[in-house]
Amino acid sequence: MLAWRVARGQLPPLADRLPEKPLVAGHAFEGYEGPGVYGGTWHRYHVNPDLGTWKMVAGYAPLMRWTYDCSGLEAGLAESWAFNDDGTVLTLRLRKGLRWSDGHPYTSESFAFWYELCLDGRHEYVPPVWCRVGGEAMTVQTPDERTIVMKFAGPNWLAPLWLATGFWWCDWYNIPKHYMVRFHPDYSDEHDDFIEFQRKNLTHLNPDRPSMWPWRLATVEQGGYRVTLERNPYYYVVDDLGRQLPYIDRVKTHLVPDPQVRVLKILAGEVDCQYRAVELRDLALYLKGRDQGGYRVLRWPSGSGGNPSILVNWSDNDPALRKLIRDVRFRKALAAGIDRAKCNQIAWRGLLEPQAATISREAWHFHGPEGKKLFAQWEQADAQFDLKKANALLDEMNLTRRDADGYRLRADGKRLTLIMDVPAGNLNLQENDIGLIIQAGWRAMGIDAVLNTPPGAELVLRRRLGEFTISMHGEAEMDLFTYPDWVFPTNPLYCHPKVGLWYQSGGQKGEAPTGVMKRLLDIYDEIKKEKDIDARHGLVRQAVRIHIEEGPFHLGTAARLPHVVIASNRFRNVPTSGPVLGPWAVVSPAISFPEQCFIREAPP
Amino acid sequence: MIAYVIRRCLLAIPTLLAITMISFVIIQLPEGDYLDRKIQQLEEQYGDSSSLARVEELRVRYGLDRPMPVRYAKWIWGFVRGDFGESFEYEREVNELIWERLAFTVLISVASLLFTYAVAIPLGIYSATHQYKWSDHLLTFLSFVGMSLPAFLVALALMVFAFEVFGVPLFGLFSSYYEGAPWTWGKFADLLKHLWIPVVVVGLNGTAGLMRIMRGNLLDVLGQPFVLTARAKGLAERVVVFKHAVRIAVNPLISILGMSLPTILSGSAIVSIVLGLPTVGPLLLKSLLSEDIYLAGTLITMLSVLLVAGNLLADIALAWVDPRIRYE
Amino acid sequence: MSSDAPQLDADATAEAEPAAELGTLSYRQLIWRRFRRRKLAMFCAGVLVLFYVVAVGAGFFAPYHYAAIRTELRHVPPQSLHYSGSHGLHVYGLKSVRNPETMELEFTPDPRQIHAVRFLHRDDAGRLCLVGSDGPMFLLGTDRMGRDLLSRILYGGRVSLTVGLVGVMLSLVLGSILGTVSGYFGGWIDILIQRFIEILAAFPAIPLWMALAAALPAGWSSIKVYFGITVILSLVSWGGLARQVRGKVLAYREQDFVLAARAACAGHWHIITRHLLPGCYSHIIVISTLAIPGMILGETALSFLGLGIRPPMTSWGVLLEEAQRVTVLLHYPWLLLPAVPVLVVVIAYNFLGDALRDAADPYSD
Repeated sequence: MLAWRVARGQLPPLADRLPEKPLVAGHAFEGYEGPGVYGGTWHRYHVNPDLGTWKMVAGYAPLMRWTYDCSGLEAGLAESWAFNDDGTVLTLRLRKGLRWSDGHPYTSESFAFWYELCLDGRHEYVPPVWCRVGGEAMTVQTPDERTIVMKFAGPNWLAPLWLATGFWWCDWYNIPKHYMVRFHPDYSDEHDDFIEFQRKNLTHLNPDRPSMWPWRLATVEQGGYRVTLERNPYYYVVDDLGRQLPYIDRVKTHLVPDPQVRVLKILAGEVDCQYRAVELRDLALYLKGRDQGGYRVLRWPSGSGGNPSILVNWSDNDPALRKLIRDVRFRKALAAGIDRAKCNQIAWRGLLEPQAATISREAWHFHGPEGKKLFAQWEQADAQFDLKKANALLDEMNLTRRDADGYRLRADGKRLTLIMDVPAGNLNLQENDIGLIIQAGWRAMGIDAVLNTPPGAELVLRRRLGEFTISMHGEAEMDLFTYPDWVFPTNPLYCHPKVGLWYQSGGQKGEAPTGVMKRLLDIYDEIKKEKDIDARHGLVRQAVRIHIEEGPFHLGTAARLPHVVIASNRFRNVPTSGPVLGPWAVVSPAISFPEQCFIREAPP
Repeated sequence: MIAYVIRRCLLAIPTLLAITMISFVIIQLPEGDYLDRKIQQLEEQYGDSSSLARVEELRVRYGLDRPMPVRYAKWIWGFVRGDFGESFEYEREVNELIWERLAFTVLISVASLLFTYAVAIPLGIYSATHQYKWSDHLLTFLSFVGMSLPAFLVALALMVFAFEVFGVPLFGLFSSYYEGAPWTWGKFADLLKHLWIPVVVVGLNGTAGLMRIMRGNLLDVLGQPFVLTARAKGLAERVVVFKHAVRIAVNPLISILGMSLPTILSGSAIVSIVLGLPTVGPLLLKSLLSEDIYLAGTLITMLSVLLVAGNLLADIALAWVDPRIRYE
Repeated sequence: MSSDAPQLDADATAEAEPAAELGTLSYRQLIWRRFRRRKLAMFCAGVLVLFYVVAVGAGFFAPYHYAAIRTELRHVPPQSLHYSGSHGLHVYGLKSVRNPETMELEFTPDPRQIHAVRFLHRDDAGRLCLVGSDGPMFLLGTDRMGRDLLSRILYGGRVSLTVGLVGVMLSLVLGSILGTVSGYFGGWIDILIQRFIEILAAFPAIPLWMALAAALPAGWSSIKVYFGITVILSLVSWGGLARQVRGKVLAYREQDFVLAARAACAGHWHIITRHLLPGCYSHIIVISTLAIPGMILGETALSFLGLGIRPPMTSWGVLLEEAQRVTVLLHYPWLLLPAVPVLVVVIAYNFLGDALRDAADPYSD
């Protein structure tokens, strides 16, 4: 596609478009068939107008990248980086000859510009949480075009991990100054504020904005209903033979909010490759329709530790419930009342594994024999369905009085009722079914479990504001350093909304941590200061041990969901069982370089 | 007649105003606002506190920190000038979002409406004039079946059926080949091919109901003394039915016309979602679910405008058909 | 007219009793007599009564409890009843094979296992039910959690049938009174009521439902929640009825019999209830019977949006929503069976409404 543009002089030749030392795409996975042919269009669908799932595929152009197995970092736009001895200065060196999708050179000015915006009070960007040490933000210097120097107020060993995490950070700091500057109020006469700037800065909406993605946004039609992307002629990644990626010329993606239409699209063979938004529930249908639709069904690990995990609000609004929840026996009793095998059978047809709530088994904190042993312990902690044990624990807590219907009474004489927030059936059948099973289990223990289905946004809001007692969320995480909240209460999420809020707001709002929560936060603070990576892993494992002994804080149901990935038979170089798809932080499948997929028109 | 029309138009304005006020309030009844949700979403993804400050900025910019009357006043003032505010979720101007989809929405709605009336009225007349014959019973039965099936199920079933039997996927309004292509006869034919499912499904409920009403009305009218007189006068049955009876029987149907509009528009919302159509319906639903107040408010107001306009037309048509109404 | 002639004769012969008695029958009794003659309508009424009885007595008629989950018996296709001399009424047992790729169990009937079907059977929990068996007896199959579909339909009917009735009653009363008043008095009352109707009717039902659903307390039981929402729904939908009644009243208002009544110094209330309303009865009845299925379908729409009945309660709308999947349509089509009772009830109500309309119309004979 690009050759004729070069011939017409619209584009410089390849040598000028690639950086001096381009990144070679890694392919250490089964399913790689070799360098591919150019051409073709990739048809797929998306579910949200913000193209979040697409950015997970090909919106990842960070300074450094997560490796395929998420066990460390590899070079991205930056070819090298290094800390000084005490971890207060991080120096990065960019590749030479990087260019934006419009040909303009990519230099350190982009990062500097971004940080300038962060410090600018008029703009919505603020210095990210990871650059603050002891409340003080970093300073950024760019001594030359290819060097970025970040100076922190104290040791900040986790900074490179943050730079690599998620598609969102690189989406922010890769800001094309040469294009955006005309909307900046200080540099332009037309605009007094940042409103137009922010609007033009939207990577999923503005085709004129240059980007570093493998496919650049070409058109957005009908309010995001139909989006096309085209090959970025200046993309910095090549294959083994030095040919520039991606091979595929164009990507066409439709907005399809209804799950049934998505099923039909796949069956009709209209989808070339889809990593997410494919439901396990319809697996039988997909398997049956393989020949007619001309696609293959792959199963990728999701690395999930809880589908879903049951969140128990540590800071419940009701003081009597709060007291009960903070008693470790109560939580162990609740855990013992969940029939995980049944959850697995009913909601997931036995395709998952019943276990306690954990993060991903593949996480790099648990590599090595000691780590694996600890993880195995965590998986099975309080994961047995044992009503006798549950009843015994509750009796031990003096909850022996019962009312006329057989439900236990609390210390204040009221019935022991737990309200469980469940998403509506049509949105999420599995969580709904599991809610029913758990309800039956807890009722058998004498606890009146009531299911509450708030509509849509309301459910999420209740979780966020900490107004729930029991709620649900899928749990999967590969890296606790950059996404600590399944173990460390650093954000208002999951089981610790109010303590997390306290930490996040620097002590301004929320509830100050005590006891076990405080210990966990202290460990996390130590992690941030720790230089040695193995010691850091050790600290994480220490925290996990606390979870095993004094937990559970999240209750598990079933986990290790096999993620269904659909790939058309013409679409090649897709990993047969790719990188972990569950957690968003490690940006899968982008770490498997989907730009090296190609379309082979003739059947093999 | 003209005076009547002008009077009705003037009356419509306070109605519209009241509508916008109430809808603005109702949309914000559920707890919290869009930004609370946005924070949640951001934090879950990004796990950082920077979004707190950023969201406070957004809050000020969108005026969500002001009391409700102020927000409403700002919005209405912009409305009048053609600035419908900005959608939070899509981060674009509301009018951009709407115009792009409005054409197809109107197309489907009008087509469904035409389908409904074109099918229901003749069938209703036929059914009434052949009362108690087997054809009447058959039509009655079919209309009941049509009325009693939920639209989303029928939409899905039709789509699956079309796919299984014809092997051709019929979601959206165009097949991939024609999408984005310039308008040609081929594209038009493709559109029609895709259009029949949504039109049939949206129209089905309405058709059946309307047919019953038409039948009922006509039977009522046919039982009236003036009809007996007309027959006694020796007029042909056809003349009696069409020239005299139908004209009166159609009376309530015209007032239903105004009422059908929001049903068709928002009833087709569910169908559009199921069938994946680029119309206003799914937009409205999503905006309500995420409390995207300016978008939702504008959409509801658009619907109300259409309704009021529809009623106006219906009233005018009614006055024209039945002269007694004019002199009030 | 000619088609009515045979009925006239029937009428004459049926009421061979002295004509004098006819003259003393009240309006309501007249309607009842005429209604009774329509065989089909009586049949429909009977069907509806049957439905309501079964729904109310679901605890007795259903072979299983509607929420009983059976892990190993998911997606069982409907089992057929057999009769033989030696075993009496029985069903075959089931044998299952697990599909290795999808891990789904596939069931086939196993003629070697015979499970007798008994009447007035006591199930495991000691509940007395009309029919039952010691082995699996899923006459309409099971759903994704192994719950018996027949029992779920019976229990679900309780909710769907009763809740729609309440909503429609409310709409009916409000709509007819306000519509008549509006049409009869005209002037500013008319304008006021019309505007009010317009404003209410301009709201797409969806935001109203959502807003109200969100405002309901979290701890409310599922049925309370639904009654709450239905009441609100009905308050919004009376507008349509009012508008149509108004149209009719406007037409009738200038008719001779009204003028005559006024000349006789009849009061407004008298004219409205004795003269105008009866003329509208047929219209009101047709609209109302058309509204009941609308309520039932409204409930399915609510379930589709996730605002309907909360688990573990069930209704026909919930059951249909669970069937709204391509997988179900193609692989487990028996889950669509709840559409049948919906259809039957709707049709029955409509025939009923039709017959009542014919019976009530003072001009139709």
